Amino acid sequence: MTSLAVQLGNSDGWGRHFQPLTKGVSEPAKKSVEFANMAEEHFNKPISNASRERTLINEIFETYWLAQDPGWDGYDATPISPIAVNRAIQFLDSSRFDRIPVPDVTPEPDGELALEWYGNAGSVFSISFGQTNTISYAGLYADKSKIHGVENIASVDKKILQKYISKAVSN
Amino acid sequence: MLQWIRKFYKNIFQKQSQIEPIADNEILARFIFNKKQLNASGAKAAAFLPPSDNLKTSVFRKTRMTEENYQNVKNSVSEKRAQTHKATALLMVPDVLSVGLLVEPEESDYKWHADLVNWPDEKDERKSVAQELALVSQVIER
Repeated sequence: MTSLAVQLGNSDGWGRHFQPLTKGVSEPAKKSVEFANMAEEHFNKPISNASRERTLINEIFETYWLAQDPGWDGYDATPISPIAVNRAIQFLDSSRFDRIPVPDVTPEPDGELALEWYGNAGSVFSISFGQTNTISYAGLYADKSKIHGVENIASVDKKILQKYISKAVSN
Repeated sequence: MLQWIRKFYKNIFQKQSQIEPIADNEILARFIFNKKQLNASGAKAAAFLPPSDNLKTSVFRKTRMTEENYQNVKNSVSEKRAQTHKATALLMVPDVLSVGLLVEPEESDYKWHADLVNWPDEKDERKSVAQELALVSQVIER
């Protein structure tokens, strides 16, 4: 039997000094200490932007693969273009989107890829990326206001887009 | 030969005249086959967007169909398209008309099939219209 004891320190009264102990000499005993240390390291690690970004990239690629065949929507949809995927990722890289919620990723029947933000009260803001240098965006808010437009990716004012996104997620 | 031609055009005219006009109280059904067009709240706008080559969104006139007919059509479309049905989004005709679209019966493959037409030419305007449709739609059969 392998037993593992945890000595709780008293540095701040909350036992923050986590020190797994075992008197076992077997391999499983040593492994249990090792895994306990790994668990502590994992739960003490701050939530990093790298993992957030990785989640989003994974979702972008999952969406891409789910919309790869002609007619992927059951109708006449065009497959999502790899260029559209690339443009969406580049756009995220060039923006300070670490300050806003991770968007939904949505394939569109014309082969474009949309990043979308939803609010609890029904608001939505969506940006579509395609094969050209332009993005199309549209927002519909809980106060019934609407916004839509087309911009060049390179020259679009990202602060204004962030404002539209923030309005969506907070309504 | 002339008689055959007369009969041919008479059949076409009869078929066209048998198409029931769209009524204001009709409920339209949009089948959704890709899970990425759905979220926890219902259908996303993308579920209603038309493809860029014909700007028509396919729907069925559910109010006009028996339940058996509706299920058969749904299964037939799924099979024909080799896609698994994920959900159905329902729209009322007045809601479609209020965003500037029109409902045009199109029964070349299926009875009670129609297209949502009159979409704007620009993509951002289409997105905006589709967002309004998504807001008023009701998703069933998830």
